Parts: sequence; C-alpha cells; structure tokens
Amino acid sequence: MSKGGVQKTSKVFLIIGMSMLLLYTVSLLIPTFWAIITSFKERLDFITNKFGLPKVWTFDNYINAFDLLQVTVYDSLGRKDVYLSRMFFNSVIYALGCGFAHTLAPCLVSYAVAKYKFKFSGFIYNFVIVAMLLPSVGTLASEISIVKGLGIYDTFFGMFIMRFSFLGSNFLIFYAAFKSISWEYAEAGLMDGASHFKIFTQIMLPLVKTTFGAIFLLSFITYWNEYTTPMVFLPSNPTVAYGLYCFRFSPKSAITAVPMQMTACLLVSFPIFVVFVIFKNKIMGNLTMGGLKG
Amino acid sequence: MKGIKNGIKDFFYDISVKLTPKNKKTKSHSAAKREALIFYICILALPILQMCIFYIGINVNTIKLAFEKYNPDTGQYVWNGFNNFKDFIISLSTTTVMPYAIKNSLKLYLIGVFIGLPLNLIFAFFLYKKVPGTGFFRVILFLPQILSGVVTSIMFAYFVEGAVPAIFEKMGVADFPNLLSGPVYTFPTIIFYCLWSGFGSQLIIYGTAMSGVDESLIEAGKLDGLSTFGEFFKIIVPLIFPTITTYLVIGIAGFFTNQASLYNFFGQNAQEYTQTLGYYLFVKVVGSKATLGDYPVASAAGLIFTCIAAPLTILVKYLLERFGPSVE
Repeated sequence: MSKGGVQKTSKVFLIIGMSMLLLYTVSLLIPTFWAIITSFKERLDFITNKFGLPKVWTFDNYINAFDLLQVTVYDSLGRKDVYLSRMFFNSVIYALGCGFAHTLAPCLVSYAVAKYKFKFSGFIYNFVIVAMLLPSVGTLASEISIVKGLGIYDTFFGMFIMRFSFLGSNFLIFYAAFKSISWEYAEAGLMDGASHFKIFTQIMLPLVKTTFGAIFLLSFITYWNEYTTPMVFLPSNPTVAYGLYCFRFSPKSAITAVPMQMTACLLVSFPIFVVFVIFKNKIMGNLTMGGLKG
Repeated sequence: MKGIKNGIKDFFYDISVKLTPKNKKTKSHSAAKREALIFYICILALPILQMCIFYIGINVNTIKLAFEKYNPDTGQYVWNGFNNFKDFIISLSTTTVMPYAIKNSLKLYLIGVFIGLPLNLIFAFFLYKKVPGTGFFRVILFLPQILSGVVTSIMFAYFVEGAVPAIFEKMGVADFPNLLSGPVYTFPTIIFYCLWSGFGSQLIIYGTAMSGVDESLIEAGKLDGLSTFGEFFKIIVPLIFPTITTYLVIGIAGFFTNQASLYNFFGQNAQEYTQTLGYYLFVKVVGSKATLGDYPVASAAGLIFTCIAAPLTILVKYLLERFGPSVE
C-alpha cells in the first residue's frame, strides 16, 4: 500500500471510530442530564414540561426522599417498613462484606496455588478453569434450598459466606499477580526465621495491594449495584438497589412520580460515583488477565 | 497513644521471637516442608470448604432436584425419574413462551458477539491510542459499569417513555410510539439497551491487554507501512486474542442465563414475546407464583441447558485456539 493510501485508511478509520465514540458519549450524557434536571422539577411541572428546564428549581425531592421512599418487608417479627437511610446502611454492610469476601478468597487460594508446588495446587488451578468453562445454568433453585438448609438464609453473614468463593476471573487475576513475584523474597524471609504466614501477610500481600485494591473496589461497586441476589437471599434487609427496583412498582403515586424516581436513582448512584472518581486510576489499569490455559 | 502502640508491638515481637525456633540452620528439610504444608492447608481450608458446599454441593443438588418432584402433602421431595425432563421438553412445543425465549436469547447473543464485542474492541483501541479527550472518554465509557443496572434501566425507561415522545412532538411528529411496549418495538429496544449499557468491564480488560502489547511490534508495523486500521487488525487483535477468547468462551453460558435486564424493566410481568431463557428460568424460581414444586422442572431445564452449553463451550474454545488469528 502506498504511503498516501495508508494515511487515508488511517484517517477514515479514525474519523469513523471517533464519531461513534462521540455519538455514544452523547447518548449516555443526554439521559443522565435529563435525569438530573428532572430530579429538580416539581411533580406537576414534569407533567406539562417533560424535557425542558424546571420552571422552579426545587430541592424538595431530595429532602422528601428520605421520608417517602420506603419498602415494606416481612420477617419473623412481622411487617416492617424500611426507609431509605436504613437501606443505605444495609447496602454499605452488604457491599463491604461481600466485596471483601469475594476478593479475599481468590487471593488466598491463588497465592497457595501459585507459590506452593503441591500436587493439589495443579488440581485446583485446573478445577478453576474447568468451572469457568463448564457453565452451570439454572442452579438458583438448588442454591436457595441449600442456603435455607444451612440456616443462613436472610442473614448478612450468610451472604458473605456465599461470596467467599474463589472460582472465577478474580482467581486468574490474582494468580497472574502472584506468579510475577519472585519467590526469592520469601526464601530470604524463611532464612531469617519468618513463618509462612508472616511472609504472606508482610511480604507478599503488600506486593499485590494494588491488585487487591482494584478487585475489592470493583467488587464493592458490583455488590452495591446488584439487587436480584439480595432480593432473593436477603429479603428482610433491602439494599438501596433493591429498594430502587421496588419503588418503580410502588402503589404510591408520590413514589412513582418521575422526578422522585430520578431523585432516587441519583441518590443511589451518588456514593458509587464519588468512590469511582476518587479511585478511578486505581480501578482502571491494574487488572491483567490472560487466556484460559488448561 | 504512640507509646501504647509501640508497647504492644514490642510485646508481640517478644512473643514471636520466643515462638520462633532458634536454631534454624539445623531445621531439617522435612520439618520445613511440614511447616509449608500446614500453612498451605490453613489458607486453603475455608475456601475449599466453601467451594464444596456452594459449588459442588449446589450443582449436585441441582442434578438431584432435577430427578425429583415435590409432594405438597408431606413437604418432601420424592423420586420422579425423567419426568421433569420430559415435561420441560414437551413445554418447548406446547407453550407459546419458549419459542420466543429461544429466538430472543439467540438474537441477543449474536448481536452481543458481532456488534457489541467489535465496538468494545474499537473503543478500547481508541483509548489505548490516546485519542484527544481519552481521560474524559474513559470516565464516560465507564459510567454504565459503575451505575447499577437498575438505575440505568429506570433512567432509560422513563427517558424513552417520557422524554423521547416529548422531543418528537416538539419536532412535529405526533403519536410517537412507546418503544417499551407492544410486540414490534419492545425487544429491539431491549437489545439496544443491552448494547448501550454493556460497555465498561470489557473495556478495562481489553484496554489492559492492549497496554501489554510490545511497543516494538507496533513500531515495526509502522515501518512496514501499516495503517492505524492495519495495526488494529494485524497486530493488536491477534495479540490480545487469548483475552477475547476468554470472553467469548465464558459468554456462551450467557446465551442461557442472560436476562437482558428484563427484570429491571418489567419485574415479573414481562410479555411473552420479550422473554429470554434466562429471564424465564429466573422468574420460574423467584416469581411470586413460584412454589417449591417449580424447583425440579427449573433444575431439569438448567441441566439440559448445561448439557448443551458445556460441549459447545469446549468446542468454541478449541476452534478459537485452532483457527483464531495469529501474528505474522
């Protein structure tokens, strides 16, 4: 290909790609801005003015949200009304605990597998790969009956145990991280009389702390946002994401009014947005995963 | 305060010195190995136990449930042979929902692979090439990933139902249809939503994979007169193909499990013509009409899907590795 031709294809590719990127960005931003503007509208204002700026800017939706938004649940003590502030509390507990459990388990197992050459290590590695390759579909019914059988249904602790799983891509990410660390550090430590536990917690863990942090933050965000699992397994402790799902189908018109719905969406997203803005460089660019060899 | 902290630190240090065997040099090889083994067992014990219950146990229980039926009088599950499988297979042709569910799942999967994946790759490539505004795009493209699916779908639904018709009305188009109801528009809108909100996680993984590509290869390509377009197809894509393979292979199960955010939009009441296999199975187990009697058939259906998906997954992995692109 001639040099001019090369430049031309490059240019066309760039222009088409950039326009798609821009178009997509705009398509994301418009509904987001629309949601923000709508959340400052009064209910009646929205009915006649669906797209324009609010006639009167009002903060009332944000103030009322904490009194108005509520989910009714039933537990062993009977009927219970859960309000937004309590849901936020539940979400923090749920996301912190599940996020940590889902980071710690793969970290522990991948360390053992990557650094200790016992026969069992090879077995676990292959097991993880096979578990990733063999999809298990439709296990929800069985999961519910086992969780109920263990007596951990509808408890936070039960959720943390469920999430203390090392299977999945987090294992491979940690595995790659530990593989890239030389065992010589550990040998030096062992010569000095440090225990294996000490080597793990004081030498190895600090070396993978960026990976650990990135996986933990991503897991935290995932669990903050997830609502179907808490809906099924934690019914009497609604999280904000589950609450949001319920508000949409609420019988109260004050809750289903669009400005209030948008307010709820923004309130739920705000903490995550702050976490993301603070840690965005830690989250992006610290996760390496290769292919599935097995 | 600091004094107390140091005191505690010294105290633990003393203990650890006392507990550590003094004569390390004479520690035999087998003793060292035993110590390693004890540590190994300690950090693996709990995760392995968890896996035995929550992975192996759950899957074994699914198989068991698939062959049982619920007896409401005794509250027990009893042996039912292959009847659940039979019932499910018969339901494929007797119910109206299943043909829709299969067709919709297939559409969603194919569009994800042939439109979603290339778009993700191209966007990741542009960010990797550091086009103007990369920092801004990185944050924006990540938005759907950090917002909850329930947030994006609620915003999307009200935007489509409220704002979009209002905009068209202003432009002089009266009676703009509601894109989230009726058999004509609903599922295409859902597909659009899934693509639109699906960027994010793949972008990070592809982006990191791309940044691991050896710069000298790209320089060499440039000297050989490769365009940006050629660089993308002839260097980047082949080099990160193992990562793409991973996503494609794991994604096959998605054909059977993808709920296409239908639960976010419609709760338990999605119309039959918009349902997918994943949604159908999910509602069958957690819907308000679901009973313990529904678990066995749902498990049998899951087992059938697994039996189709597993060999397919292995086959795709084999084919991609055998015939995937390679760097020349």
